[in-house]
Amino acid sequence: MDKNIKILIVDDFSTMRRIVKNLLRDLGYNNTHEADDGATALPMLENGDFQFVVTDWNMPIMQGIDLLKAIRKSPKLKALPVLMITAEAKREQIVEAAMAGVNGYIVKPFTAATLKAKLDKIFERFE
Amino acid sequence: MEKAPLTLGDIQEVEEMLECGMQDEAEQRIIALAQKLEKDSVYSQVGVLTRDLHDAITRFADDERLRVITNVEIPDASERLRYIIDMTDKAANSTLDAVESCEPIVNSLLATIDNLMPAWDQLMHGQIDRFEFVNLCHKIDNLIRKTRDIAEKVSDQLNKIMMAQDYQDLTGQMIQKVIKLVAEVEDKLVKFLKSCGANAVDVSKNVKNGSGIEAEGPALSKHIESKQVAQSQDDVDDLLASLGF
Repeated sequence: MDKNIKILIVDDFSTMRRIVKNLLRDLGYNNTHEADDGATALPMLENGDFQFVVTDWNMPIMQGIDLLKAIRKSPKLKALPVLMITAEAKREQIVEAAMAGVNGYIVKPFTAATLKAKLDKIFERFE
Repeated sequence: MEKAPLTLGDIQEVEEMLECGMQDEAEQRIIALAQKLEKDSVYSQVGVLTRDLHDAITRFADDERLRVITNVEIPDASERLRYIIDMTDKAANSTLDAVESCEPIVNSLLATIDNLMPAWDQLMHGQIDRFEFVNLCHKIDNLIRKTRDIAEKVSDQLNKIMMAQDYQDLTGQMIQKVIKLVAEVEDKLVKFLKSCGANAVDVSKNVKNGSGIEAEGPALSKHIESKQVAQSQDDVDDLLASLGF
């Protein structure tokens, strides 16, 4: 997988964005950008050539699940892979995200190994 | 109070009043009869309830402790919770600062080692000439000094990471205080409800457990135990696999 792919990290907590950014950098992905909720992320995605999205679920204004649905509805973005990293762990929620077309689902707290495994799995499918 | 049954006599009495043209008296008699019949049911029950409620509200409103809680301790608790957010944010950021400042220096150490590795391998295999040997000695001298410098810097940052963990103790103490306050308020509310005559209904059964789709943040342990919530990443993976993921 091309390690230079442009990645958008969406989370309302700046520390979590930093952690994800650091973990991605350790895995060799340096081209990361940040947004603090779905409403900020969506125009960035529409206007930028992002190839991957990592998003939280619980955020103000526009939640991650709504961002995912908006991405799948957009003709331009519908094929964009989306990985959810969230504290939301109810079964209905996981099923909801799956139905909405999420490509991977990680529950917080998570480890670097989990992130790597999910990324590998997603990219394997896209290659 | 005994509930007196309606008798034929009562009705006859009213009838006689009407026959004598005592319209007002007859109507009043009817109302009195109706009240007598109703006494033990609705009227008296409403009366008792009203009195109980009035007493409970008076007791509740006169509770000196409750005034302290509302005016001082709850605003104080909100302040504490805000402080906890600030402290944990600061701790996370200073830890990340330390980690991020270590990253480039450790990487530069790795680069230096990679750079002298070919000459070092040659030396280890006894295939090095005098010129390369001298060159290697300079590189190793540089590496030793650099390693020492970097070890000091990393140790410094590790120390910062350790010190940043002091938030756990401080926020823990504050959270304990807030928990104590919440428990006291809960206790007072339960007593209030009981003194109002309300049965201690198990409302938790009636409270919706969320639509399932709404974001709720980290799961509480009682939800994890009830199996409504995925217990681990493996659980999430199994669930997704069962959906054909």
